[in-house]
Amino acid sequence: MLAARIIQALRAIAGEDAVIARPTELKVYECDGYTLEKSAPEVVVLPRSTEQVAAIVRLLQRERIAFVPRGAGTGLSGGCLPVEAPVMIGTSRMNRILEIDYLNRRVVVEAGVVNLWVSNAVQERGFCYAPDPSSQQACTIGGNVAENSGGPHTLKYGVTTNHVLGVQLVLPDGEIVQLGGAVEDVPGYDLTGLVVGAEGPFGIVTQATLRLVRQPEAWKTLLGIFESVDDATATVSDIIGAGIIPAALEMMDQLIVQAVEAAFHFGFPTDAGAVLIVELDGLAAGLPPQVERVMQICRANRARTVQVAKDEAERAALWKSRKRAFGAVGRLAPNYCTQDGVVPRTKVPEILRRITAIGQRYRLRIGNVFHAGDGNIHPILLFDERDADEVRRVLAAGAEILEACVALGGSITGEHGIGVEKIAQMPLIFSPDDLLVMSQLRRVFDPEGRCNPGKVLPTPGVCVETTRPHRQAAL
Amino acid sequence: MDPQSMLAGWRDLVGPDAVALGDAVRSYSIADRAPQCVLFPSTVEQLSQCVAVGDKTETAMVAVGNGTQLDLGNLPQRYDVALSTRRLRRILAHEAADMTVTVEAGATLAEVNAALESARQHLPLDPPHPERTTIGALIATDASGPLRLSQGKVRDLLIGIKVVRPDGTVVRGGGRVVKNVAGYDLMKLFTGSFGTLGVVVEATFKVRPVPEAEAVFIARGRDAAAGIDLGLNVLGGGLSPLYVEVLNEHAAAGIHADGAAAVFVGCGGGPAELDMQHARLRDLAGAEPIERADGAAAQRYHEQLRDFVQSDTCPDTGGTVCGCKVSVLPSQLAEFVGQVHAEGERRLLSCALQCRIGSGVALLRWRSGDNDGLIRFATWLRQTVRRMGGWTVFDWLPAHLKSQIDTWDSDVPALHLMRGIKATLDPGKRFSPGRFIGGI
Repeated sequence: MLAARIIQALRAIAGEDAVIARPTELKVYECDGYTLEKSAPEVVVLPRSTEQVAAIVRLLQRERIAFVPRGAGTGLSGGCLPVEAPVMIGTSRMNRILEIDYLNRRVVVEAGVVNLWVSNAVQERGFCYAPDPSSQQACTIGGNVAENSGGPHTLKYGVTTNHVLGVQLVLPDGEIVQLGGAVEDVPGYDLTGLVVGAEGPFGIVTQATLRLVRQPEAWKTLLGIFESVDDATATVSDIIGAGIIPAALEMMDQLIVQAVEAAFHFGFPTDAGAVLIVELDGLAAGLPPQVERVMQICRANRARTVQVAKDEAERAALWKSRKRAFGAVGRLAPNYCTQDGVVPRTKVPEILRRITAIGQRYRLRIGNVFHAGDGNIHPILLFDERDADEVRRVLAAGAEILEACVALGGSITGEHGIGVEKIAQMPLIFSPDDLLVMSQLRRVFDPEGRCNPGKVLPTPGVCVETTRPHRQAAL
Repeated sequence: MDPQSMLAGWRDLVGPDAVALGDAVRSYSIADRAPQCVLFPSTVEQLSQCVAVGDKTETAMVAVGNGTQLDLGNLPQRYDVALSTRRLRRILAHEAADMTVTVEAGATLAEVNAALESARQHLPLDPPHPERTTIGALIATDASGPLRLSQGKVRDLLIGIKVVRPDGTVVRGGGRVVKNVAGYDLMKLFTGSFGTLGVVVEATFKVRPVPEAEAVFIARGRDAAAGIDLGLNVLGGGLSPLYVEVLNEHAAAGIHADGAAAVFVGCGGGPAELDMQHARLRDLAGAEPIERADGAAAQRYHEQLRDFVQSDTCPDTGGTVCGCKVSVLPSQLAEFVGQVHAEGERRLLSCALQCRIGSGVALLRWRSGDNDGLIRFATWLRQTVRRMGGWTVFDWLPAHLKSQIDTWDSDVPALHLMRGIKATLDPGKRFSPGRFIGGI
């Protein structure tokens, strides 16, 4: 238990209303979007500035107390789960857009700024912030930086790390450092690149300098309806093979289409095997031949229909359906969990076949909605958390799916992160020597391991079981 | 250990034909410092064994490809052995539909692109002299070219690496898939680390389709500052350029005989896209005529713009060539160029200057026989750029000035973390000691 004087000291730094210590109020913070494990912090503090964050971290340094940063809690791998860390530092009150520089196409934001706010702030001038995770209406830039978030449009435009020019970081001893910045090519090691996607072990990111990109002059969004997932994936390969890089290339299988249709009534045929969303963008003059070519490819792969969204409203409705697919799944079962494995693009049909087989073997319903263009699958495993046996089967099936991804030359996570969820799978892709480098790097920044402990890197010599009986599961 | 038994040890490890001595070693010198020998291991295992032996014998090692970047960086504190990756040059995997390629570090960029050509794909990085620049050098020095504006740099394309650590251990980061957030991003750490943390032996990159066609539009009716304005306008709307480069009159003289400053806007795409961009650039440029080059001519311009960095294009006023790369905000480029021209006039130095508009990068070359003057100008440059919040890397210095002009700025933030990383990953300072920033 934290001493009362620590909580007092936190109040003194950040203000009375910025410290949450009542157990009922802390319940909100007991997990993020990964709900299979829960662990409430002892206190949550919501600083308003980098200086307050630094003061808090210095206090925790003096007291040798571990802490975990949190943005909006939309993460999907337990990245901000307070394991082994009694203090949670939330960035939600640090939510100002500090500077917009159109000429140099950069923006400086505080860590708690919501992803979509950035694009909203600059859209009138024809710009946007490219990474667009499905949770973009809620997730924060700080969380995006920690997780190196992706999104449907990263196929062409890249993920978070390609758009972060610099970060302001409060180191685990309370020192404030600026890494990178608005000017490119800062000499020295690329510490910004190291921090992005590391899941928060190097300190707390309090500000980020982001790249703005011009909105494409024109776009066309195509919807292809296919009888089978195989036909849809063959279409994906052929589009890429034709040298076309769509802005997005997204697929939903029948189970997901049915859930999405029930929730949003877009008009998807619920008997289709798969739907494919293909978005092409660029200069207006370049689009017609690409649209024509993609339609040909769809037809050649036996598409039932292929249509171009007729206006912006239809395009928006289509994207809303896709981005809220996870929420729609709530209609199908009380609970779901998703995996985030990646395979080489050409292995997508193979991994989908294996997922089907795994689902049958474990008697589970599994839907698929995913970024087909980059081989990043999102099988959604449906279950009821009150059914302990089903929970066990979900965990086992999830682990098997990731093993299959690795066997096909892929990775265990494309954008959701390792967090606490996939620590046990890290040895599938990294040797003890690989992991040693990572833990050595971590110690350079955080010699005492107090900043977001218990994430990403398995503790050497400890065998982590997939059921994690040592932690409270959401049963 | 005495030199003779060391040598015998190397020969046992890699074979007698894979150890170069004597004259053959001279081309691997850094300034006046030549290594005792150059090793050419032909497998990753051999290379890792060489490093392990080097570690035990406290040998200072520098990884080299074709030596194109050896002049970059400060003088090494010690330089005993050069480790060449040139026999590790296989293209290990290229699956066209996956748009990835995995190669060994000793392959040159040109060799990699030749392997991708039949699929109409390429690794869209265009540093100078791709026929000599190895993948290892590309990564170690974070080399880039005009295309960085539209295609990104090494950091945006490198998705997996294999590295030999100073104790000979082989480690991997990333993987072979285009989207992957498992583990820390070691690719970023090793990119631009100047061989100070490990020897990159294998790399996987994202690749891109080759544009259907490439054209270059050239505007030559204005001075460099006005050219930069036009370049910024090009980025502001209507075009989707592959690159936008502005050359002052001295740099442009290497390309056009008439020696007028010039704006080069490279575009890719189908015929309709190229025509549309040509028309829009004409609108932006007003009355000024826009010259257009297509096909092989466009390719030639692109190559000239690419190779400027390593050419000694600058007014032949006698003496030695110096050069640097400066980065500021794109909006500060015109002011920077103006100051360089004014200061150059005052000091009777003529600078050839090439600006990468979207990135805010300026490449400078100048020549002088007056050493003190060169040093004073370098100092002025560094201070001026720092006052603007930018950075200077002296990437072209004659050997005799290397001890007097630091390649790197000394006041980069978080240097203590960088030193911490070096001390942790290479505690014995085996790799390229002293060549990098802050004595790393």
